[in-house]
Amino acid sequence: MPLFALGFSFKPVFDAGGAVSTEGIGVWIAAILTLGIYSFLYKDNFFYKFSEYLFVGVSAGYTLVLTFHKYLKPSLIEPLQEYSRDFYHIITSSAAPVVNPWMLNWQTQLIDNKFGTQFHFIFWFSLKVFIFYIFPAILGLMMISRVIPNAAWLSRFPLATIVGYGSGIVIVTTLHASVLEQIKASFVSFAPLFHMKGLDWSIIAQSANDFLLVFGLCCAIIYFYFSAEHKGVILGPASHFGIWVLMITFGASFGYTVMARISLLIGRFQFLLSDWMQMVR
Amino acid sequence: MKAFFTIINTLDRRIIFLAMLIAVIIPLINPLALPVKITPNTTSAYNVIDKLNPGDRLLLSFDYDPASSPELQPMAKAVMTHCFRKDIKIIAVALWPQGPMMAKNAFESLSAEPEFKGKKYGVDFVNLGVQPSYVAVVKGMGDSIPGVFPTDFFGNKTLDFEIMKNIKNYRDIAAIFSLTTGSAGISTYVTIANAQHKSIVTGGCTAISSLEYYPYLQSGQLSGLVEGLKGASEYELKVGKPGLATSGMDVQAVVHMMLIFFILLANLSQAIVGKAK
Repeated sequence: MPLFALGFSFKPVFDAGGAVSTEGIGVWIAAILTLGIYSFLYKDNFFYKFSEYLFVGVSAGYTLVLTFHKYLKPSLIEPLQEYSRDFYHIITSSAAPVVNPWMLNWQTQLIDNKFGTQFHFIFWFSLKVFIFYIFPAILGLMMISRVIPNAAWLSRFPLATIVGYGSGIVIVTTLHASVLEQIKASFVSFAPLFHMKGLDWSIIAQSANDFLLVFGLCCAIIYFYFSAEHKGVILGPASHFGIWVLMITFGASFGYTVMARISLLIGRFQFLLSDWMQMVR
Repeated sequence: MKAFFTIINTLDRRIIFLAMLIAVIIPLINPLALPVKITPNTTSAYNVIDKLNPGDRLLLSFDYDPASSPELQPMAKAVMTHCFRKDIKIIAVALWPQGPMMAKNAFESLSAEPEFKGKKYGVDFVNLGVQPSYVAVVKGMGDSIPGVFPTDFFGNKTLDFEIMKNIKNYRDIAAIFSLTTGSAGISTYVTIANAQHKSIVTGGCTAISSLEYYPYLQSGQLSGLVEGLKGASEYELKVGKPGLATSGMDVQAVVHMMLIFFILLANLSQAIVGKAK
């Protein structure tokens, strides 16, 4: 029996005026493709493969268009267009206004004979455009050379640039935020425990928590100390406790992973039941 | 008894999928209204925003894509609801390419509600979009936010917006709230904005990545953390506006109980019958 016969009110494809609703069509396509993906749970089938391939294709296409319009166009194409247009106006002494502030400054200096000859202007203009736009564009193109096996080695240069640039930015801050601050945070004080008046359970609980933190941290680090065998009075029990600490962490991580995956399932079913079938408001 | 466990041991996994389907659908159609306990991490994140003054600017970073939206979109809406009620101005940025669309959807959805009819784009909220190389973006905002985002997501000049008046860098931002999935997001803001510029950083993340940020919470570098769908539902309850996350928590409870039951049953059947051939 079709579902609409059971009283479900599906998202209409036509709006109140009888025109085709793009939102309605979008919801129907998304719902059908969602069911297509979930059909894999029964068994692999054409409907699943079609939905999967379509998803991969659309994602790649969307990313490509987004990259072009949001990254490549405003960072490379439009500035180059602006610079070349302004360059043409300056060289030909055209009446058209120069837009780029840098070029406007150079034009003023050129008119005031402060820049030197036109050759100097062309030299500095070419250098600036090359350093800021052409050279990065060449580096970007070199990255694509990975698809040609004989020229794949060229991609090492942009990769080296990215790694060097990334490391330069991140190393100091990461060292500070993720190493020094973390070491500092592991130095906990038990002074309140010795200065409390009477039995203050909140201080006792906090101190116990702090002790567990430091002890667990030390034991977990000892587990990763491989220069001596994990035997004896200290290293043996400590590394064993370190394993427990790690296992509890992995357990918590697994629990969070399950929760995250179920959340995605819930999200899809909220969409199917509310947006498509309009059963849940 | 052994016959029962033999059946369990050879059970078709599709029956478990069917059980899961029923466990998801029934609580969504008939909400159980199970209680949600608000955790200290969510309270801390809530308090960061609650302590801001009207007119303060919050940098809300949409560092996720539609794949993580079931967890992070309700969180974004709850945080924006909190800000709008307190008249805190939101400067939305993104470190993920699809982040600006998530920000746009969240603002359009909220501004359509009668409560927030008066909220205007450019005055109460601005969507500055995304720029490449997230580390450079977060670092660059320490010098100049309009320098990194000269135009908004729609191509308008950033400095023309009223919300951007007198906003230069992190010093002019009251707090940073990053909605994170993956590597770009909370850890980037902690390691750069907090470590270098002493900015107050808080945020929310998908449940799968929340353990990654616990060391920052413990050290005080991160002021609160809203974790996954559970955190989103807690934030919705804190702002008194239960939404999709709250309704999803009934399902979480039922499905988790079912999973525990299945794990125990499977282990028991393994112990009694042995490994299925």
